[in-house]
This record gives sequence, C-alpha cells and structure tokens, in this order.
Amino acid sequence: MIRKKILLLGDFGVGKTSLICRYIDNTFNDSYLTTIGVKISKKLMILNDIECELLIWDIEGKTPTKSIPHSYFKGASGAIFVGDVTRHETIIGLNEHINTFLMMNGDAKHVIAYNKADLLTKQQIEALDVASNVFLTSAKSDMNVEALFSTITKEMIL
Amino acid sequence: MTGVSETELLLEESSNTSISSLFVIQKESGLLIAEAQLKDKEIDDPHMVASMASAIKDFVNDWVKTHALENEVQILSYGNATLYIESAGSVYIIAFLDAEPDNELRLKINDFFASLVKNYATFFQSFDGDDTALEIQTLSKKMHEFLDKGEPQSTLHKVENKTSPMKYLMIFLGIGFLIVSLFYLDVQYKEYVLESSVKEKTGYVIDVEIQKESIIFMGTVKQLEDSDIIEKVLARYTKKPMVNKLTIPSTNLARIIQLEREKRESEVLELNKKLQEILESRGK
Repeated sequence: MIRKKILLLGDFGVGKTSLICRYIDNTFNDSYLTTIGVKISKKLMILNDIECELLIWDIEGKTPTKSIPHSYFKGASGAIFVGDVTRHETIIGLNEHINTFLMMNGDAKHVIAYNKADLLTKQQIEALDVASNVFLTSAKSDMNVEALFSTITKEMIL
Repeated sequence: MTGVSETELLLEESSNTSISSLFVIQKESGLLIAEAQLKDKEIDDPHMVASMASAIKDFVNDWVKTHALENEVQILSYGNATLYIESAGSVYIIAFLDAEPDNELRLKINDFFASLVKNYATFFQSFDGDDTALEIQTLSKKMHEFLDKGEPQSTLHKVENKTSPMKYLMIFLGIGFLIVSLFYLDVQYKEYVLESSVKEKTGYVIDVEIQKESIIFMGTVKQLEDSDIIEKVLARYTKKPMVNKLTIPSTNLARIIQLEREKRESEVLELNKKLQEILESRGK
C-alpha cells in the first residue's frame, strides 16, 4: 500500500471539515483542530488496483489572531484548496494558500474546491467557467466530493 | 520502624519503565515508516497516531522556535502514557512508554535509534510512502527484536550495569550522542535563522539546507528577480557556496516569457522607427 499526506487548506468557515466529514474512514476528535490547528483523518482509495491511503491533514483556517504553522505543510504530496463559492474573498484568498503551499512543496499536486455549490442556482453554476482542476462541491449534497478526492489521488500516484 | 519509603517506591516504579511500542516516522510528512508493538499493548491505527503525534510535535516545535529556544520537544506525557521522541536526519523515533524514561533507558533507545539511522539513512531519505519496500521488513524485525529483549527495560539495564563496565561505555556513548545532537540542533537553528531572514526581507517561505560544503535553498518564487534577491539576502549571512534550487511556476514563466517577448517586440519597433527616420532624412 502507498500512503500519502495531503492537506486541506482554505480560509476560516469555507467548509473544509464538513467536506471530508462524510467521506473519511477514520478521524481524530474535533478538539485537536481547535487546540493545535490540525485534525488528521484517513481515507483508503483504490485506483487501477493500487491501494492508496490518504492521511488528510485538515488545517484550521487562518484567523486574524491565529496563523497556520507552516511546518504542517512540509512533506505533503498533494493539497485540496477549498473556497466558499458564495464568499468571493475566500476564492480570491486561495491564491495565497496555493502560493505558500507550492513554495514548500514544489512537486506536489493540487485541486481546488469551490464549496457550498448547493447554494448556487442552476444558471449561476452554468455561468461559472472553471479550470479542469476546479470542482464545484457541496458537503451538504455530496456533490463532486468523491471526484475531488479521486482526482488528487490519481494525480499523486498514477 | 520498618517498611518501604515513598522515595524507594518511586525509584522502583521508574526503574520498571517499559516500552510498549516503537515508531519510526518520516520527519517532514509524518508518515509512519516502520513500527513494532508488544502484542497485548497494540495501538489502534498506528498510521493515524503517527501523523497526529507528528502534528503535535510540529506544533510544540513551532512554539519553541518562536520563543527563540534551540531545542526540540523530546517528551510528551498524558496520564500514565509517555512518548519519548528522538530526531535524527530525515526521521524521528517515538517510544511509547508507561512512565517517563530514566537516563539509562533514554541512552538505550538513542543507541538503538542511532544504529537504525546509520544503516537505513538512504532508505529513510527516499521513502515515498510505499510500505512494500524490503527495507521495511528488516527494519521492523530489528525493532521487534529490540522490544522483545524484554521488559522492564530499565531493570534489565541495571542488572547489566552492576556486573559489567557497560555503564561507562553507555555514558561515553551518551556523551557522543549528545555532541552529535547538539551539532544537529545548531545546524537546524542556523537553517531556521536563514529561512526567517528570507521570509522577513522578501516574504517568501523557502527551505534552506546547510551542507558540509554548500548551502542549498529551494522553494518557489514568482519571478527571476526574486530569486536573485533571495540569494543576496542569504549571501549576507554566509560565505559558503550557494546552490539555488528555487523554481518559478510554469504559469509565471509563461507570463515572464510573454513580457520578455513584448519588450523585444517594442524594441524592434523602436529600431525600425529610427531606421525609417534615418532613411527619410537621407532621402531629403
């Protein structure tokens, strides 16, 4: 089996934790997230007969009083950047997260989730022109969550 | 008056400290490379525990660094459970114990860990999360042998000390290990100072590796000029030759090439314009 560390990054309140809540196999208590700013979860993926276990580091969103320890970024093979599609500033803020992450992990893969897409109308969704590594996701309706994780896994191991 | 004093009881307790599990973890990723556990004291989901322990260690180390201390966290305790952590190179070892280890037990763990680092350094550095590697099997075997040598670890050690001059050898090994650790911490602190200076002066977060002959720095920058600025910042602090491994994202490179092309095109236009003027003035 191959194991990979991936990060879940994005501003405070974009729904990172909810996004993986229904998806993972095992997780630590939420209290770790508020204490040390990270919560580890695990998900087994099987792609083309290759078993890959993702160790997902859900990193607490930055707040004015609390910064993200950059040592958490080290050694990650991939990252999922999450923005709230209904809050423009969280989408703009993704650039900073991506740049910081790539500075420390130049070879790592990444995908982007525009989360809370269930709050958009059909017309709004159709009007959005997004890149191939961007997924419109919803933790509430389970929209594209599987696709998001399988894409980043494929990028890392295939 | 007869009986056993509280101090004697405490001493007896500390000498009975036993190791229930040993984890070897990749420092950067927090991925568990190999583990050995006593059968009746197995930890559920060791890979998750390794990652979480790694996160807690990183968290504490970040705090230590921001408070300008030059050490790394070595002991984490909760109730009766104690995690003894020792770092070297690209990995660290965690020993799960039922009480805080005494110096003799620490030396024993450190000695064993040093032998692992010496024999598996290349494998540790190239570990990519694949647990089918042959080295993991031999590594796990050695770790199991170390655990199976018997409990309580410290008690065994004390018996050896009474009957042989091993004690002096262990002290010698301990001092040697301490010197190596201090050297390692010194290098790590210098790397941290260089990384902080670059961050402070340029805003970039880069990785600096101090090697015997040179200094390697890596990371990603937006443009070529930033790479030169970072090199200049580092040059203020060191005279060692530098190896610049900074990269520019392909999207930025495309933009730089486009800008360069536009600049050259405008230069050509300007030259053509001047040439035209010269030709016209000659014609007159």
